[in-house]
Amino acid sequence: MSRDLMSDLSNPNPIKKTLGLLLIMGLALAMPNLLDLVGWDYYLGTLTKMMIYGIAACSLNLILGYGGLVSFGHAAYVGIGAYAVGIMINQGQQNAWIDLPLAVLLCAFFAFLIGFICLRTRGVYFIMITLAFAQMLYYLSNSIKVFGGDEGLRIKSRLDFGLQFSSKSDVHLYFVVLAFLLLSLYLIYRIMNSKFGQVIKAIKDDDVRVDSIGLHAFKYKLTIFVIAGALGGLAGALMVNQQKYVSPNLLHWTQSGLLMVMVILGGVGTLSGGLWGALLLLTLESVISEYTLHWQFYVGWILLAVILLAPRGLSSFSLLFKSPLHREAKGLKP
Amino acid sequence: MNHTPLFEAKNLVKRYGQLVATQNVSLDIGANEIHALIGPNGAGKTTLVGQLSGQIASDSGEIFFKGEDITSLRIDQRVKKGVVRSYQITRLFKSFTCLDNVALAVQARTGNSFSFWQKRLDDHQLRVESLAILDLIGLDDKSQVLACDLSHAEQRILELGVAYATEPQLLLLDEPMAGTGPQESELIISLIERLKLKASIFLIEHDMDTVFRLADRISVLVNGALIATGTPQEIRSDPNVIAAYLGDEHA
Repeated sequence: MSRDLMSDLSNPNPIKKTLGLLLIMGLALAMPNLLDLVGWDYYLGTLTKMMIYGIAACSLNLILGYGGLVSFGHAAYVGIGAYAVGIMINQGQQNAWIDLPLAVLLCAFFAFLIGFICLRTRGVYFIMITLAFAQMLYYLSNSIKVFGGDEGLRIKSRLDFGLQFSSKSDVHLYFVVLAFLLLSLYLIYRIMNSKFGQVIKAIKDDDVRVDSIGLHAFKYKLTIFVIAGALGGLAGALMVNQQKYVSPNLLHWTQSGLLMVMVILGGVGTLSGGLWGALLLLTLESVISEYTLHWQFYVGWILLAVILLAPRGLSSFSLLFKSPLHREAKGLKP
Repeated sequence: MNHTPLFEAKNLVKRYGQLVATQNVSLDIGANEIHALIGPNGAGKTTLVGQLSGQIASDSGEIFFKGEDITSLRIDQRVKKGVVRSYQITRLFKSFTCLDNVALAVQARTGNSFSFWQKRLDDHQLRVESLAILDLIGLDDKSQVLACDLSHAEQRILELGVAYATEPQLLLLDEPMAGTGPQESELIISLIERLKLKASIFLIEHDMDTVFRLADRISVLVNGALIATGTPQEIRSDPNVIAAYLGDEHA
């Protein structure tokens, strides 16, 4: 029952994993210079946008992937976060350390209200009612003229992060987004390996049984729903900051669908699945749309291939090369 | 009985539209007792377990546990008091290992499920307690097997282990032997005999031999109403029971 034995078992090849992480981190840190070197610095903005979508998709994965709660309205929180920051900037408050927490809190509050109602339903009803709330907010954002109505809201300047941050520099923004992405991933990692996270995974298997061992499943569902909404709001806040523009389209149901596709592509219920899904989908979009307007047609085929070949998403591709019977049991070890 | 029973249900009623699933059911369960419930299919046995456990809200009636009115408590609140059910159709966390299935129930009892940051795997106490329960139910050599990969009988045993891990004072067991063969049933019966040392048991069971062997008292439910309660001898010779149930069975 020694601890060392346990960690060895739960992570069969720690050195390989650490090396892989270091490689990705090094690549991420050197990316602005690398892109500059090959003259692709234009793509730094695209990459930043992908990482922001990565945060949004990873936050959706908390409820959809880990908790099995298929929310079809996640764009609502991204949109609320974006509008909140956009409005605050235009009102003259550019301090990121005020605007971001406020936007995140607001999204948490909305997620609490919406979750409190939606989480009383299940299955198809849950999908539909989360969609309904998001669409209500979409039409609301369309109709409020002060915030730009259907034309959207243009913001005067980017957030001020203090330090040596220059709001005009895309490179600085890239590093800010990278920092928030890593922070979000670490947060999700800690949550999903905690006792709370274990309850969420159990809810995906059988929420009735969670109740009957003495845990009020609703309370745990609502909490993870609020955390996911808050993180989605952070992504929205970063998005408006990068694009300097927010429109009701950000709250449209197709955006919720896009986030779901990212999660499914990347890997349902995996830590970084949302990020890989965002990177892949947005790369496909920008590459294929150079050749044809109908890029979604081709993305559809790729999505189909992923679902058929690797039902657990990109993160499970490595399993293809292992024995089909290989199934790793993750959890407490004796 | 002149002292307050451990658990007491009074006049429980549950209707589904026109159908009365249980009508005015009153029963009590004493400390260290195995009280069995028998009755033909569709008599309302599972509905009754749902009402007693808090899964199903009763239309009327009252439930007391250790003298306290628990009628309005949800199932998770009743579990915290010590009233825990198991299921006729196995409900396990299928993607969890055996150890993790039990560990979640232990975690639910020790009361820190809102810990967001500390890694669960670092909790040694949790591991030790969960292994002890696997040991008790005889699944210690399967601790790392996923629940969905267990045999049916092993799943039935783990189902009992998960309920037991919450440290109940009263176990409501809904057909624990459902779908198991004779040898496997023996295993489960001996497990119930061990669990009896730690908790009172309300047992729903189809197999008459088992019921008459295990139970201290037996209640008979027919068409949603209790027609008799008594010791196995009393039930065996009760003319109502023979007419309504035992007669059918032996005919």
